[in-house]
Amino acid sequence: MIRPIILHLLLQKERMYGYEITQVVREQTGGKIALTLGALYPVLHKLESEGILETSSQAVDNRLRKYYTLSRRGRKAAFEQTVEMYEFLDALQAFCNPPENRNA
Amino acid sequence: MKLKPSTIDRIKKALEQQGIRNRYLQSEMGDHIACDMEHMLDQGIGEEEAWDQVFAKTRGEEIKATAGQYQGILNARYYRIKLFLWVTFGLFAVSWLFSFRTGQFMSAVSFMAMGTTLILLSLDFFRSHRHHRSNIWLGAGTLLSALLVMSGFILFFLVVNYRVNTHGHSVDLMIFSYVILSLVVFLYFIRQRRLSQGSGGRNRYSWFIAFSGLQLLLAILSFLSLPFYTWAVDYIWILIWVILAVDLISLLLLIFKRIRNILFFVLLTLSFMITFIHSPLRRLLPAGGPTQQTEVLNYSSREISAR
Repeated sequence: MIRPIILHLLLQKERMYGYEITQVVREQTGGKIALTLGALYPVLHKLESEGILETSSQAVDNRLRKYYTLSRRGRKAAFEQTVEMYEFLDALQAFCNPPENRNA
Repeated sequence: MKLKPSTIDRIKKALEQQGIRNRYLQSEMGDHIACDMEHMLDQGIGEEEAWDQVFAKTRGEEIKATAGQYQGILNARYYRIKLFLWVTFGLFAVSWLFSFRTGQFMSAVSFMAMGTTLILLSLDFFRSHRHHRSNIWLGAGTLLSALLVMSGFILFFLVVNYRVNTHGHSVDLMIFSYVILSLVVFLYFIRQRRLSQGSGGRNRYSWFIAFSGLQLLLAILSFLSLPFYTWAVDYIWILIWVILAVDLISLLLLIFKRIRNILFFVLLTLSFMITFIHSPLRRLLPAGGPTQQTEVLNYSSREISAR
C-alpha cells in the first residue's frame, strides 16, 4: 500500500525527499498513517532500482539530501497505480457498505 | 532550529553501529533522522530528549533490514560489472599461466572484457548524472579509456602475433587509457571526499585519493616516458616494477581492510594488465616465452595456407 501512496504524492508534487513524504502522509491522513523509516526507504529504493523514480542530491544544512522524482516511465506507472488504488478503495467501500445495508 | 555538524556526525556513527555501512544510505537516513530531530527541536524539545525519542522509535531490525535490502539492490546494479571484471582477470591469468595455442587470443579477449567493464562503468556514471553533473564527464572519461585500451591492445596483438608495424602506437594508446582512467578515479574520489559529511567519511576517501593519486602519478610518468623514450629506455623497467608493486600492495590493502570499491578494483586491474604485458615478468610465465609467440605465428600461417 505504501507504493501507490508514494507514487500518488509524487504525481502531485514534482520532487520530494523521504522525510517530507512521511510528513505529508501524516498531515493528509490526520496522523492515521505514520510511515516509519524502515517501511518507507526500502520501497523508495526498490522504485528507484525499477527505474520508476529518479533521484538527485542537494547539499542542505550541513548534509546531503536525496530527492525523488518520477521518471517518464514512472509517471505512466503512477497514473495506472493511482487508478487501481481508487478502484480498490471503491471496491472496499462497496464491500463494507453493501447495497442491502444502505437501503436499511 | 538546525542541527550542528557534530550532531549529524553523531547520527551517522549511530547508524553505522546499527549496521548501515554504505555512505549513501547513511547520508539519506541520517538526513531523515536529522529532519525528525529538528522538527522536535522546533517544538521546544531538548536535543538529548529528541535524540532518545527518535532512536526509540527507530527499530534496529528495521534499519538492518533496510541496509540489507539496499545492499542487495547495489549488488544487482553492479553484478554485471563485477562479473566482467572477474572474467577479465580470469582469462588474463589463464592466458599467461598456461601455455596453449590460443592463449594469445584468450589474452586479447580479456582486454576486450576489460573494455566492456569500462563501458558498463561509464554507463553507470551517465545514468547517475542527476546526482552530480560531473558524472557525465567521469562517464565520458571512462568510455574514452575503454576505447583506448581496446584499440591499443588490438594493435599490440597485431604487433606480437603478426609482426604488423604500428610504430609503437599500441603502447601509446594503452598508456593513455591508463592515464585517463587514473584521472577519472582520482577526480571521483576527490569529489566524494568533498561531498562526504563527517571526519570518518573524509578519512576513508583520503586513502582512496592517496592511492589513486599515486596511480595517476605513475600513469603520467609512463606517458612521459614515450616522448623521452630514447633517454628513458634504460629506466623504464624501474617504473614497470614500481607500478606492479604498487598494484599488488594496493590490492592486498583493499582485501585486508575489506574495502570493496569496484572503481578502484577496475583501475588496479587495468594498471596491472597493461604494465604486465610490457614487463619482463611475462617471460617467466609458461605462456610468456618467445616460443609461444612463434607457435601462434606458425599456427596462423598454417591457417592462411590451408585457405
